[in-house]
Amino acid sequence: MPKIVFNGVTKFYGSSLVVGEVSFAVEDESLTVLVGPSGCGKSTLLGLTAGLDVPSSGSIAIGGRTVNGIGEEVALIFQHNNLFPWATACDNVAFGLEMRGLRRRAARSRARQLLQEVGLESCLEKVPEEMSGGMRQRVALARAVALSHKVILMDEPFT
Amino acid sequence: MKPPGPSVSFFFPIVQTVAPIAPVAWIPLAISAAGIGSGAAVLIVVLTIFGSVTASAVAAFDAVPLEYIKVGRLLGAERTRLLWRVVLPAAAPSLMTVARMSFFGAWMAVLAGEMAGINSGLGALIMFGQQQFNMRLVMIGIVTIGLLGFLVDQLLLAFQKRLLWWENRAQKQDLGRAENRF
Repeated sequence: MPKIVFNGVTKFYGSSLVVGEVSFAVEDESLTVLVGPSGCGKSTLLGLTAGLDVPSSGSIAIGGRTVNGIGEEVALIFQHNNLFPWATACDNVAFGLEMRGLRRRAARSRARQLLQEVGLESCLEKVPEEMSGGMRQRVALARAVALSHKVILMDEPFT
Repeated sequence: MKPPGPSVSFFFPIVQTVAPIAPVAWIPLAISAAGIGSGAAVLIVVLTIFGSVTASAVAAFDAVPLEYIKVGRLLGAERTRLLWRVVLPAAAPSLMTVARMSFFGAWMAVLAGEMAGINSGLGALIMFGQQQFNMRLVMIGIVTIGLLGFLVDQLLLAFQKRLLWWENRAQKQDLGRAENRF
């Protein structure tokens, strides 16, 4: 089960230090909040955890496995551009399921269930622009939980 | 996004150099390469729009928000499916604009070619009318060019609306919001 361990994680972009010597652990089945001023490296840390980027030094391990690329155990919800504007709510949620090998019809069926669970049964065929900000974030949440990820990272998703 | 690879770094300056060359500058080269006729016209069109289409298409792909690519990758999309299911739809609105603008460029290029040396087509018809002092023929040529351009643009616009269906729905939503506000 996932226990996330940051061990001396440092990240440079060019010559500028973005994250410096971060070490901490996140226990299983816990909720952890990173708080800090803009530009302090919160999003970078989440990106590193999701495997979208690699630390300049140090390491991150999830459930004992060192993160060195995008893994199947992590979902990341961004503040903006969470949803694909060219896809309906249902297709947005079904996207990840299709990418993991589910047939389109089965993926959409599962997506409908998840959207009903977040109270968006009336928005299945709406595109993101036709929904409010809160509705979009709920679709993003449904999409994140669709793949039963063990870790859900949220980068200011409710602002 | 990753920095451009060596092939892009090598070819893009060539594209940028070719892009600003006016269609009329290509006419002598096209005629000497393909002879007088439709072959030269096609060559002029290709040479004229190649640079601008390539540069605009690269800009359209570069403008795809990084978050979409990150989300696609996190949701398990591999390289090919990421391109087809994420990058292309995200770039599609800009690419359609490039297509419509390039059509006008190509249309003007071929007419310039026809008027300046390729003795066939509507451009040549206008030149013939000029030489014969036949303004009616000139006007017929001009109106036909305009109408054909309008018709093709309308077809492209209809295709764009069909292809970018989500944008139409978003526009309707925006109009509804604006009406509610006033």
